[in-house]
Amino acid sequence: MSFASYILKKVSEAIITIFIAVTLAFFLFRFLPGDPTAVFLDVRLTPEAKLALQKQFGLDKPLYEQYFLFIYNLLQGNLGYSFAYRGMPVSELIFGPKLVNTLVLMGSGMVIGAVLSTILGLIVGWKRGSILDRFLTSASYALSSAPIFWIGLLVLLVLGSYLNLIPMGGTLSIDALYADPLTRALNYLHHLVGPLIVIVLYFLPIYMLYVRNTIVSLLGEPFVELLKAKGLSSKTIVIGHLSKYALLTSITLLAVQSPLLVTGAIITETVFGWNGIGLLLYESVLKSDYPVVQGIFIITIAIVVVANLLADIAYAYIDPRIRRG
Amino acid sequence: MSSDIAGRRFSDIVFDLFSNVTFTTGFMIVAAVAIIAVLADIISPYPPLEFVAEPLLPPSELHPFGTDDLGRDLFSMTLHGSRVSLMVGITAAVISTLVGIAVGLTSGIVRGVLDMFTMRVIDFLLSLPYLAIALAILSFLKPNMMIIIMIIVVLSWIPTAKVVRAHTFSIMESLYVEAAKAMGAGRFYIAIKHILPNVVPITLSSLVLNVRDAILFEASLSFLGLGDPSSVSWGTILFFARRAGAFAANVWWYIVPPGFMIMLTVLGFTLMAIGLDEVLNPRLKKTQ
Repeated sequence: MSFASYILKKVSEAIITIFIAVTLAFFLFRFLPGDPTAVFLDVRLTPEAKLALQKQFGLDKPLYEQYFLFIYNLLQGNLGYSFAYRGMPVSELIFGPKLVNTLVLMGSGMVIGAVLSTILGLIVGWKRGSILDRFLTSASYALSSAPIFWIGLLVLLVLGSYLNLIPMGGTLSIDALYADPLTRALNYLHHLVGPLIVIVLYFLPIYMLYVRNTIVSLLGEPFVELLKAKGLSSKTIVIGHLSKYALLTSITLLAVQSPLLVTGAIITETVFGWNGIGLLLYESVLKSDYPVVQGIFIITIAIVVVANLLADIAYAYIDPRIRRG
Repeated sequence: MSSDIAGRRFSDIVFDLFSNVTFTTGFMIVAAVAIIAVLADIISPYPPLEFVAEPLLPPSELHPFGTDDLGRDLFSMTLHGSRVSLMVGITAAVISTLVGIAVGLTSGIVRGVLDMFTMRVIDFLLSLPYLAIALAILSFLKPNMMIIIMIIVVLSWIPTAKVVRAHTFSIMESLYVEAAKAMGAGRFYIAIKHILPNVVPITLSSLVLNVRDAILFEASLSFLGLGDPSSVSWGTILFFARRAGAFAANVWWYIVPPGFMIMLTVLGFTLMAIGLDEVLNPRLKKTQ
């Protein structure tokens, strides 16, 4: 299979997956107990506003017509209107600063986590059985057993409360809201430290163990023996040859565990009050803000599927054998 | 066949398991937590949900883990928390493992369109963000233990199903299945008599991993305040702690013990699963 047709196949699979997810969301939110129109109609709306919404989403029409209208509206970028945010369009609420905040947190956390774990995994894999290996491996098992919200609370308790190094939550301090851009940026980064540490600690142990085990299993391979026999230094073998495999492992993990990103975002943002999509979802669940919950549900699945798609393509690009499978 | 696992006797396997340091360590941790759960009423100095002292007392002889913001004894609450975690974890894991075995076995034996369809469903479910779905469902339903267990089952039977399916495929190719077919055995007979006994031991480590994941999932939901409101799990205690602002008031004893118990229990199950894999799939040993 050529690279182009592989990409085409993966893209069409992704589109189908998103379509199924949207369908699932539509029916899930209509068959659960309660008034099906509750997904769109806030009880506090005026009768005229209710009528307008009813017309837009065909709420008085049979279910299949509603479904097509739902898809039609979705393609126009219309996900309905939030209850809690006074009729604000859900799409505006999601595709705004909140999404940026989430992407900043998860993006930087994942990159730092992946880089650190690749380096550490290479070192302990190469020096397997050493004290450093035993220590980091045991620490990784312990750390990956700890629930992420607990780590968050401990970071707040120790770094925030006892040592006073990080703010106790939020994305910006009130006094920084109207300050000059540089002060604002620094204040933002200062707030980022706590949740970022948690996200890095969330990914680091699992990734490091995988990279380590990949390296250990490679050490018995003839090509490594050959490199050693050629008299190459450990440094050259690890950096020049084994690091490629470590990178491949990390990318695979990104693909397999992209749903974990969503879990990480929801919990970490909730613990730190980081103003992102995860916190928005949690608050919307508590406030029964159904349009927002439904919107985030669809958007998160779309993001996860697209992330998987990109990882698949990157993986096939690095390793051509994949395209044949 | 039924007492043999890959040609080894059951008693040999048990012996091997307990000679394995990783498994034994994990087993002892889990056993200790289980004993705490069973004896929680007897060891607890106070009823877990009664206001027995001043609020936010630091640890002392009377209250080994101190008291919470309502004056409840945190030691008793933490001991009782083990019950919910283990009960939800084990029930959900057993059900999802059984579902996984049933789906994997059927898919692996019937093959064809059914198998293709199952694999599509599995691929789809694997790309879903579980916690987001659980939150979406819980925005409609009032959580109780049954609903939480059901949500965990729906989202967690997949790894077991995949493992069972793969093994069913390989066993279907083996000579003795060929022989059974030649003697006129039906697919159903082969599934129950030949494949099931060989597949069940392999699902043991999936089962243990499922318990671990279910405990973590229950803890996350409870921490978000979406757990069963009528029972207190370790996640619930941490939910109370966050709501009371314990992390900003240096009330470390409200935060450290419940989280530590979650970590310890999850670690215990993880170690058991690693040990099981080492003993039942000896080829893996080399990479450890």
